[in-house]
Amino acid sequence: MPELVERHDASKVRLYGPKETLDALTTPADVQSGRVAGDEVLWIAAPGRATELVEDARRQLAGAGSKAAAIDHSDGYALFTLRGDDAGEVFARLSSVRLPSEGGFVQGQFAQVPGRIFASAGAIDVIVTADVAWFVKERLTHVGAQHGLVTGGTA
Amino acid sequence: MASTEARGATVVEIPGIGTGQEIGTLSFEGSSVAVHEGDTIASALYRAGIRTLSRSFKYHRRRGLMCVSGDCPNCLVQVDGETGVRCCVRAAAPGQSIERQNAWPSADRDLLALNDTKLAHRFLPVGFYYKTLIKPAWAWPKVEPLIRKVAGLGRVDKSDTPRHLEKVYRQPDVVVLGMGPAGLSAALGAAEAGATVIVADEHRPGARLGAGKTRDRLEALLAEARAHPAITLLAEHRAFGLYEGPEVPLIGPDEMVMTHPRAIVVATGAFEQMEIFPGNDLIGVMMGRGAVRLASQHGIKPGATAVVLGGTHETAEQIEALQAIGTQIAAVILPDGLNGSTPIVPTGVRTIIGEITRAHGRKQLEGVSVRFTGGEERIACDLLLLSGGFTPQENLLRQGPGLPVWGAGDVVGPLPLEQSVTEAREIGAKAFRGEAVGLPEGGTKSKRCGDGGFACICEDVSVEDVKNAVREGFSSTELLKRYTTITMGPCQGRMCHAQMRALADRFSPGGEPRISGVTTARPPARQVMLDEVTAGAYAHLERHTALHDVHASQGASFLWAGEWKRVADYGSIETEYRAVREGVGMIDVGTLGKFRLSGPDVVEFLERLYPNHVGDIQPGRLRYGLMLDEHGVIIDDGTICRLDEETFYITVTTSGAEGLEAALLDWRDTWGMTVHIVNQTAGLGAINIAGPKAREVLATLTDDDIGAEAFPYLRQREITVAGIRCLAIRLGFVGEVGWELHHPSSRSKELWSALEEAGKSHGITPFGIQAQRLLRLEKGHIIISQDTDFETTPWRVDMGWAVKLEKPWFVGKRALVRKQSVVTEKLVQYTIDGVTDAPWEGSAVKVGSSLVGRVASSWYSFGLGKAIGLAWVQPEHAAEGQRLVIGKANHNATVVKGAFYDPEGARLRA
Repeated sequence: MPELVERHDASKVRLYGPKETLDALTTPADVQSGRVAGDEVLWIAAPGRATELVEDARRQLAGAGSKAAAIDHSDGYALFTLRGDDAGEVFARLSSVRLPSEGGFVQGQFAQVPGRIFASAGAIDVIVTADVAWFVKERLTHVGAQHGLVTGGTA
Repeated sequence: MASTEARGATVVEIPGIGTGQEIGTLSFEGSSVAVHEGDTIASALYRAGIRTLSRSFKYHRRRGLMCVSGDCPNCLVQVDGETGVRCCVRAAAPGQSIERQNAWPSADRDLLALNDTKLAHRFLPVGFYYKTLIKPAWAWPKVEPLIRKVAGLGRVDKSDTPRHLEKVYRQPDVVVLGMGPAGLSAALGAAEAGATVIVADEHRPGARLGAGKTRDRLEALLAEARAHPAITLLAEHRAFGLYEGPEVPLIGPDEMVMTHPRAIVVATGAFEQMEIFPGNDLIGVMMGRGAVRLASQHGIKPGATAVVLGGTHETAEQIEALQAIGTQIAAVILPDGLNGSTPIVPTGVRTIIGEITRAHGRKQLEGVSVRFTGGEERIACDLLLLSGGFTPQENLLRQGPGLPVWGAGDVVGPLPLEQSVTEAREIGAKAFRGEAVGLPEGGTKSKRCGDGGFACICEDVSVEDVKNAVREGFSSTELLKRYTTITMGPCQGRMCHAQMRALADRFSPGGEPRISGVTTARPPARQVMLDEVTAGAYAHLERHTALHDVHASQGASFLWAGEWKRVADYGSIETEYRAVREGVGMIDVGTLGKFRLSGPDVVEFLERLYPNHVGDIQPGRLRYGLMLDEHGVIIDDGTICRLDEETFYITVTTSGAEGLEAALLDWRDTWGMTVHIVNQTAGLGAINIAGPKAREVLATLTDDDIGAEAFPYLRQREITVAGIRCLAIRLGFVGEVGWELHHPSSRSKELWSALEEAGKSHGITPFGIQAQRLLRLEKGHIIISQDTDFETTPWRVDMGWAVKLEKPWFVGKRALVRKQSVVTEKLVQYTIDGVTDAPWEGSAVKVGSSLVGRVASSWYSFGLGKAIGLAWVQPEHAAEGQRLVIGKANHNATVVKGAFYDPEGARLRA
C-alpha cells in the first residue's frame, strides 16, 4: 500500500556557483544532493539543519567569491515522500518523468508544476514550490485513492 | 527503486462468439430492441430489422451498416446523450437509449432529404458556401443559424457533466498499435529481444473475428503474449495520434495511458476498399468482412440474396460464411485484370468477370447492374458484398515521418497469415534494436473508379464534385481535400483517400500523376472527446499564500489573480477602504513575485533589463521600475531594492513571477552573465500595513527606528517585527504611509496575528484587493495587464519618466525610440460627478456619438463621492478637460490630470 509523507519542514539549501566549483563539492553526511543546473545544486536534509548546511556550503564555495552563493530555501519548497508498494504507480499518474532505475535526481513536471525528484530504494521524494503544496497534495490524494494511498505518515 | 514501468500482462481475452442469449432490451427512439449476449448496438438493431442508422451529412441520404468495423461514418448514433458513437463497435447494454442523428423530424421521414433532389444538387455543389452566401451581406447572419442547425452530428447535452479522466504515464521500450496476429507477433519479437512492450488496440482482440484459422492463431499468440512478463496488453485503448517525443496517447474507457516509448510499431491492419459506382452508398452495400461479422459473430443473416464483388484471398471464405447462415449467393463479380490472383469461388456459384456499373434501390439495395464482355445484366439482390481489395489502415503509420515508427502486418502489405506473423516478429525485434526497415511510401490508389456515386460518404462528396473541383483548379490532392472536404470527415480518409487519389489522376489535365500525392496525416486519427483530451489536466492549478487558511477563517471571499487565489474582500469593501484612509489596514501581498539576484554581473544585468537607471541605487534604497519586452511593451512592474553592492531584491506582479523567472534565466544565459537568480515568491511572505496609523501600530512591534526621518519613503532595510526578521520596504501603492514586510513564509501567520493584535486598539482592518484597487486608482497607479495590453508602451501611459533613453541599451529601447512619435492611444483619468455607480470596466467611451475608446479601470470612490476611472482614448481626446461619454448610461465624464487623492504625495511620505 503506498504512503504519502509530508516533509515540508525538511532543510533545503540552494547552492550557486561556477560549474567546476559545484563539481568539487563534498555533500555532507545524510544530505541528498541534486544538480539542478550547471550553476545550481540542491541539498535536502532533516529539519533544523539549514543553518549548518548554509555555513558548510559557504565554506566550500568561499574560493569562488561573489560568483557563488548559498541560500536557505526551506520555506520556498514543499517536500512529499511517496513510499511503499505502488508508490511508483501513484507517481506515474502525475508525471511523465522517467525515474532512473538505479535511483538518483531528476527534474520535470509533476502534478502540472515543476518538480525536483529524488528517487531511491522504495521511496520517491518530490519537491515543489510551497505555494502549490496544497494543490499537489490534493492531486496526490485524489489519484492515490485508487491505489489505497495512506496519508499522514511521519518521516 | 520504486518503478513506474508498465506492469505485466493484464488479462485480455478474445470475446466469445455471440451466443444468441437475450439479456435485456435497449431503447431505440422509444421502441424496445432486444439485446443478445455479445451484441454491439448495431447488431442488436440489425437483428430487429432496423436498417437506416443515420442520414448523410449533406444530402440526408439513408445510410446503413457498411464496414461493421468502426471505420465508416454510417452508423454514428447518439447513445445516452453521447454523440457520434460508432454503434457497430460499441457494445450493446440493456437500458441504453439510442437516437439517430442529423435528421428532421426523424431519420425514417427526414424532410431534409429534399436536399437529395436533382434540383437541390444544382444549388448545392461542392464549395457552394464559398460562392453563394456572399451577397447580400445581411442575409448571412440569417442563413448561418439555419445551416448550423441542419448540419452536424448529434446534439450535445449541455447539462451533461464532463468526466474527469485520469492520466497515467508509461515509458515502455516499444508501443505496438494493433492487437491482431501481426501486432502480437511484433510485441513478442520485441519482448524476446529484451524490450518492455505495451500493445494497444481500440477493440478487444479478435472482436471482429469469426471462427476460423485466423482466430485460432490469434488465440495462440494472445496466450503467448499474456504469459510474457514484459508485455502489457491494453485492449479497448485507442491511439489517436503519434506525437513528437515520441508520445503516443492511448485512450481507454476510464483513463488515458500516455506512453513515451523508444519505438512504435503500427500494426493496424487493413480493411476492404470502398468501391465507386452510382448507388454505392445504398443500404445493403456492405464490406465483405462486415457481413461475415454479422453472420459469424452475431448469428445474423445480413441479407437474403447477395452479389459478391470479389477479388481477395478472403472472398471464398466470406461466401462460405454467408451460405452457412442461409444467404443465397446470386453471383460473384470478379473484376477484370486480377492477374492470376483470381480467388477460388465455391463450386455452384455463378461467376461473372466484369464490373458493377450501378446499384439500384430507393430506400435500400434492390439489385445491381453488371457489365461484362458482350453485355450488361441487372441482378436482383438485397446485399452487395465489397470484397474487391484491401486498403491499409495507415493513418497512424503516415503520422510517423521523423518518428521511430515501424509497420507490421497488413498495414504495410497484405500477406498470408503465417508469413505475416513471422515477418512481424522480426520487425518487433528490429524496432527495439532501432534497425531501419523499409516502409512503403504509403497511400493506395483505388484501382476501380466508376462514373458516378460517392467518393466520400462522410461529406457526401460525389465523383462529379471531385471532377468539378479539379476543373476549377483544385487539382492537387491537398487542395482538393481542403476545397471539397473529402477525407476530412469522421472516417478521416479511411474510406476515401484511395478514391480521391485515383479520381485526381483521372480528372487532372493529361492525367498528371504528380497531383495525386498522399495527403498529410495528422492527429487525431479518431474522434477524441474533450474530456479525453484533458485527461489528468482537468484540475485548475491554484496557488495559495501561507495565509490562505487565515483569510478563509476570517470570512474572506477569493478571486483569481493569475494562478493565485487572492482575497477579494472580507465582507465590506467600503469598510476596508475607510480603514486604510482613516486608520490602518493590512493586506497579504505574498503573491508578489519576489526575486533575489546576486553575483558580479548583477548591476549590468539589471541595467539591461530595466529602462531606468539601476546602478545608481544606493544600498538601502529602492526604485520603481518597468519591465519591457523587445517591442517596448510593458510586461511587468515592481520595485528594485538594492541590498548590498552585488545583491538586489526585486518584486514583480502577482501573475508575472512564473513567466518572468524563465525570462530572467533566458536573458542571463543569452548574455552569458554570472547572476544568481532565486525565485523567492513562495519562500517569502509579504504583508503590507498601510494607513495614517500604520507607524503607530508597527512601532509597538519593533525596536528599530521607523520614524519619518530614520525610515523615509522609498527606503528599505531589515528590521525585526514581533521577533521576525523582515525586509521592510517603505512604499505607497495605496497612497498612505506604509511598509511591505517581507519575511520567511513559515512565519506569516505569526506576523499576521501580531499585527492584528497590535493594531486592535487602532481598529486595524485586513483589506482585500478590491479595496486595494480603488485605493491605488485614487492615486492614479496603473495595474499591469488590468490597465495595459499587448501594445502598451510607457509613452501611452505617460510613464516616460521611468524610461532613460540616454542609457546605451536596455530591452525594448530600439522599439521605444521608434514608437515615441507614434502614440495612437492614451490612458487617461476621468471623473463622473453625480453618480453612485461606476460604469463597467470595458465600457465604450465616446465623444459625442463617435467611439473613441474603452474603460480600463472603474470604481465609485467612497472618499471622493464620485466615479473615477482610467480609460483608453485616441490621443486627440486625451487633453485635460475633455468631455467623454461613457457606458450604456451615457455618463458625462471629464478627463483630469494628476492623482485624484493627495496629488502632492504628502500622506504617503509622512
